[in-house]
Amino acid sequence: MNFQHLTDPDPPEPTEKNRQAVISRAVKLRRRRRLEGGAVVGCCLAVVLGVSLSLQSSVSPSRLFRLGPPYRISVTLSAKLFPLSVYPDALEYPPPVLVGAASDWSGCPSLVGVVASTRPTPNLVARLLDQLGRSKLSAFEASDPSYWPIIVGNGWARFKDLSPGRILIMPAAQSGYVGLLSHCTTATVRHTWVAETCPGPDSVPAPETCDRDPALAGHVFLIDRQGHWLVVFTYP
Amino acid sequence: MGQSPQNFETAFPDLYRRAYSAAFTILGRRAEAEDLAQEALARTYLRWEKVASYATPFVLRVTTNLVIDKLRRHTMARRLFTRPAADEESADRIDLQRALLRLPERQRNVVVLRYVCDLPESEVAIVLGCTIGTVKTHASRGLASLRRTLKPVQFMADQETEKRL
Repeated sequence: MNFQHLTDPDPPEPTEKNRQAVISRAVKLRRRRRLEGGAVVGCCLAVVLGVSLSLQSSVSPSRLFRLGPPYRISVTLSAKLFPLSVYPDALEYPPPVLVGAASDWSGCPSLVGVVASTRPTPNLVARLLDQLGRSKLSAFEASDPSYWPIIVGNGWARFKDLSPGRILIMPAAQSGYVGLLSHCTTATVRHTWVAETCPGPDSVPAPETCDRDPALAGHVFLIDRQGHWLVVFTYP
Repeated sequence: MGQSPQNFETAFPDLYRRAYSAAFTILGRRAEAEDLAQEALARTYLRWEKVASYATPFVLRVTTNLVIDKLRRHTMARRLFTRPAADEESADRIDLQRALLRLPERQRNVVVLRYVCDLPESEVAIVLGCTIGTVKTHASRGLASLRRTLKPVQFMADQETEKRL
């Protein structure tokens, strides 16, 4: 059977613009999948997590974290692993605004115990991001409660094999993405550091493609609370 | 698989041409074919590490799935707003679309990948996760079904001739 006569006699040639459009579409698709997957799976996981951590808390004191919309759930975590001094409740819930183009919800971190720290080293950031990507529980440990709704929603960033040499660290005020903290206080911005990573979370392409496609770089917002570095937001 | 892994940038032009061509052959509309080719490549890009070694059949499978989804969505609209085909080529394409939608899913996948996308049987087998024998069986049955649907008059004439002989 021959379908040759149905093919386009003058097909368009693939251009650089097409390639850019494909990559941009892929980034949006990944973001949408995270959010959709998160909405469906998030509730189930939260229930499982809540149950398992409640069991853990039956032998040790526990803390109850209430996470705002779109996940109307509570998570009980061990008070030993998540002391109030390092993991105070987020500044406000529900989060006042949608953050970022991806409709990711995030609250503002509480500034209790947050210190104006010196610039974190790339090695420290690489270790923290490794911990963030390892498992859900370690992601909770590596991040501030203001980021937890995203973890519960299963949409948090998992960085793979990140080399410290490819991490650029700057004060949040100097980052082009400082606008993502615009709904928080100026003190939050002052105390936050941004680590720009290449490639970003879940990125398949080689790091050198970041020069051509800046959208592939990842941006991680960090604070230092009582000597504990915590992720407060990631983008994308 | 007959294809060594390469990076997405290098493979992009060829994959885009193949995806566009497959989409256009079935849909016949340039803008939609371009849109589906881009969507298929975006999905491939996200899974590049896993599918790089058999990127062409993978892209074509994603493309044909998207095309079939699109056809299904438009089936009702087409029923409501059917207009006579303007030329023979359009009529052939509409016949092809209807015939494809009538095939069972497995046969349709094999027929499209094998005869519309022109993939070898070995690559069709890889991308559909079955043996070459299964591909041959589905191809043969699908093709027979397609022939009956596409050329009913000719098919009946052939049968009459066979009986006489």
